[in-house]
Amino acid sequence: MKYRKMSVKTVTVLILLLIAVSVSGCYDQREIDDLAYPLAVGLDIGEANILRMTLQLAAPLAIGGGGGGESGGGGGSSGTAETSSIITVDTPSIYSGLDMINNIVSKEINLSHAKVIVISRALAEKGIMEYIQAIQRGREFRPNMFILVSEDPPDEYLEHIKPILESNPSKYYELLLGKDYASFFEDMRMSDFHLASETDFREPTAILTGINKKESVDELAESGNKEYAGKLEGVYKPADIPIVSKQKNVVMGMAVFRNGRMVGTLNGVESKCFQMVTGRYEHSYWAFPDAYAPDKMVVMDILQRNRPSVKAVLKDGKALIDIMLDLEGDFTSIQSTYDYESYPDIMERKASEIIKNEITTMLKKTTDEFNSDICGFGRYVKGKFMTLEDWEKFNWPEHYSDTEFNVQVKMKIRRTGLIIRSMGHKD
Amino acid sequence: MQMENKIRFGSFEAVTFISNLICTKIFLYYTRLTVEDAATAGWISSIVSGLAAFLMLTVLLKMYKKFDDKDILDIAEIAGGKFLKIVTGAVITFSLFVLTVVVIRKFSEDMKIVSLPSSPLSYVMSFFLVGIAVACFFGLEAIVRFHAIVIPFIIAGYVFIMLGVTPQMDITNLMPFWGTGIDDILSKGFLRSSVYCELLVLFLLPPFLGGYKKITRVGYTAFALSAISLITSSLVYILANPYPSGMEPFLPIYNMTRLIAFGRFFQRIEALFVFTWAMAALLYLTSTFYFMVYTFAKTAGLKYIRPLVLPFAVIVFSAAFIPGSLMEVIRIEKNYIVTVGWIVAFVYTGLILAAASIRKSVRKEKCSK
Repeated sequence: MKYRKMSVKTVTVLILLLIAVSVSGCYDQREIDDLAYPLAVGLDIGEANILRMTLQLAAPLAIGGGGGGESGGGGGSSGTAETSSIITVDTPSIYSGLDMINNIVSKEINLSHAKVIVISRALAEKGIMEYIQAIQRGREFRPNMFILVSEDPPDEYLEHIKPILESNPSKYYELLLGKDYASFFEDMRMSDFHLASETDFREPTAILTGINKKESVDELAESGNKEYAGKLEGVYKPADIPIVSKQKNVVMGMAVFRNGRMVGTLNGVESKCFQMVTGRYEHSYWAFPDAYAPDKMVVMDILQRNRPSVKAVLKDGKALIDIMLDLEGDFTSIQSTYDYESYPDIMERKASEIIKNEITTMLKKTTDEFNSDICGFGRYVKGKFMTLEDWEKFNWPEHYSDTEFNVQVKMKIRRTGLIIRSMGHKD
Repeated sequence: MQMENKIRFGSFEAVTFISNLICTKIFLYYTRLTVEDAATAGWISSIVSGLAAFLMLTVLLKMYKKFDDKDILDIAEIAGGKFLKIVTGAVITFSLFVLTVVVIRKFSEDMKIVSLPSSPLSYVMSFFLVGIAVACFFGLEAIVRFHAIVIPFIIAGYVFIMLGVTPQMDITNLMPFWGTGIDDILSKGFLRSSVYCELLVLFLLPPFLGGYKKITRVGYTAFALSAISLITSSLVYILANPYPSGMEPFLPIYNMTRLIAFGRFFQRIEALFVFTWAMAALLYLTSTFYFMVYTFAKTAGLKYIRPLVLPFAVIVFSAAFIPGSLMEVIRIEKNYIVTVGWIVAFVYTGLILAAASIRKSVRKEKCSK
C-alpha cells in the first residue's frame, strides 16, 4: 500500500514537472509581442511577380492607446499615431509573400486576426480560385473573414482605411461589413465564398468596394448626377456615391463570380434584391415615388417577415422558379402628406410593384448578363433529381441562363411612425 | 499490477467506455467518410451501417448467452483449446495494435496541423504516449472511471458544436436524396459497419462487468448511443457542408467548428473542439492500448501487465512512424480499418462463439450419455 502511494505520488510529480518544463517552452511557444498581425490582406496582379500582396499590419500599441498620443506605432501626419501600417510585396504566392515580408518586418506575421481579404477587380476578373484555395488550406486564416473586391488597387485602397469613429481597424471592419441594417451589400465571408465556388448549384459573390475621392461638396455636382438623377439611392458605383467624408473607402454593391472569375457587378439596389431573394435581407429604407405625386417620395423601412418561399419546376429541361416574398413596411416619410396611413394599400401595391420589377431585373441580369446562379436556385432544382449522377448529367450551370422567374411580392404596411394621420401643410 | 479480473465496474462506466471507443472517429474522419461513400446520402449510408452492426451485434449477443461472464479468450479456449485462445489473442492484440498505431499517428498529425505546427511529430506523439502509459499504470478501474467523468463533458461539447452550426444548415444539401445511388448506400454502408469494430472490446469486458444481462444492456446502450451520435454527426455535417465541399476537410468537425460564430464576441469555438477532441482521442488510445496489453498478457498467461506497458509503448511509438505521411495513414484507415474491421469484430467473434457453442453442446451430450 505504502509502495503504491509512493509510486502514485512520484508519477504525479514527474508528470507535473514534465508538463511544466515542456509546455512553457515548447516548440510552438509564441510571445504575443513577437507577432505582427495583419488586419487586411490585399491581393492584386503583380508586376515584378505574379501576385501583389498588401498587408495592413495592426499597430497594437496605437490601437490600445486609442490611436493617439505618444503610444507609438509609426506616427501619423496629423500628430496622432497610425493604428496600422501598409506593406506591399510582389510575390509568386501568398505564403511566399509572407516569407518575403518577414525579411523586413521584425515580428513574425500571424494571420489569425485578419478580418478582410481585398481583391482587386483586375485580379478577380482574371481568376482567384488558386488564392482562395490557399487561404482555405491555411490554418491561420479565419473562415469568417470578409471578402471584398475593390475597384481600386488594394494597396491604394488599404492606405485609405482611416477609421474615424474607431481606433481599432479590426473593429471598424466588423462593424462596417458585418452589420445587419445596411443592405447595399451582402455580408459575404470567406467560408461562404469558398462553399459557393465549389458547389454546382450556386456561384459566389463578394462585397464591392472602392475609394470615394471627393474632398469637397463642390465635387458632388460632378459626381455623375446626370447618370443617376431621380434614381433610387442604391444605384451608385462605390466611387460615385455623392458623399464627402474623411473616410474614403466605400462599400456598395456586389461582385458577381462565375467559375472563379468575376463577371460583373450588382449595384446597391440589386444587392438588396439579391438579399431578399436569398433570405438574407434584414431591413433598410426604400424611397418610392408617391403614387399620386410622382415627384415626391414615400420612404419606408422595409423588413422581410419570412424567408422567401422558392419553388422550382423543371419543364423540358428548363427551370421555372416561383419566388414569393413576404415583406413588411413602416412609413418613415410621406413627402406629399397624402393620407396613406388611412389607405396604405395604395402604397403597398406601388411598393410591391417596384420591388418586384427590381428583383425581376436583377434576376434577368444574372441569367442574361452573368449566366451565374448567385442566388443558388440550383439547390431547389437538384431536389428534382434522385441521384447525383443524374444531377451532374443535367449540368445546371449550363441550363441556368434558360431559367424563367415568376416573382410575387406580398407587402403589408404595419406602422406609421409617430404620425398616425398626415394632415397636409399649407403649400 | 496483477491481471485485474477481480475489478468490477458499473454499466454506466462501461457504456461510456465503449461509446467513446466507437464515437471518437466522429472527430477524426467519420463524417467525411460518409460523404465520400454516398455524397448527399451519406447519412442514409450511416443508418445502413448502424442497422448492419445492430443485426450482427444481436446475433453475437444471442450466441454469447451460454457463456455468461467469460471473455472471448476464454470462449476461444472452450472452442479450440489453448491453440485457438492464442490465435484469438493474437488477432485481437494485433487489431487493437493497428487501431492504436493508426489513431496515435493520425491524432498527433492532426494536433500538429491544428495547434502545434512547429513541434516535431515525435514530441507531440510522446505526450500522448506518456498519458497512455501513465493511465495504464493506474489500471483499468481508473481508466473506466475517468471515462464516466469525462464523457459527459465530451457529449456536451459535441452537442454544442452540432447546435452551433445550425445557422449554416440547409435542408437542400441533402439533395439529390439518394446521393451516389442505392447500391453505394447499401454496399458501402454495410462495409462501414466496421466503424463499430471496437465493439470487439465488449467481449473482453465480461469478467469485469458480470453476467450476460449486464453485457447485453451495456452492449445495446453503448451501441444505441454510438449509432445516434454517428448518424446525427453525418446528418449535421451534410446539412452544413454542401456536396462536394464536405469531402475536402481532413478534420471535418474541426472545420465545422471554425464556422461557428455568434456576433462579434462569440467566435473561435475551435478551442473547445480541441479540448473535446483531445480528451476523446486520449481516452480512446488509452482504452485500445490497455486492452492490447491486457489481451497479450492474458493470452500469454502472464500474471502482471505493468511490465508490458513500457515495451508496448515503445513498439507503438516506433510503429506509428512506419506510414510515410498523413495521406498514407488516411489511406490505411479508409481501405483497411473501416473496410474490413467488421470481419474481425463480428465475423471472427461470431465464428469463435459458434465453435464454442457447438463444442459445449457436444460435451454436454457426451456427459449426459
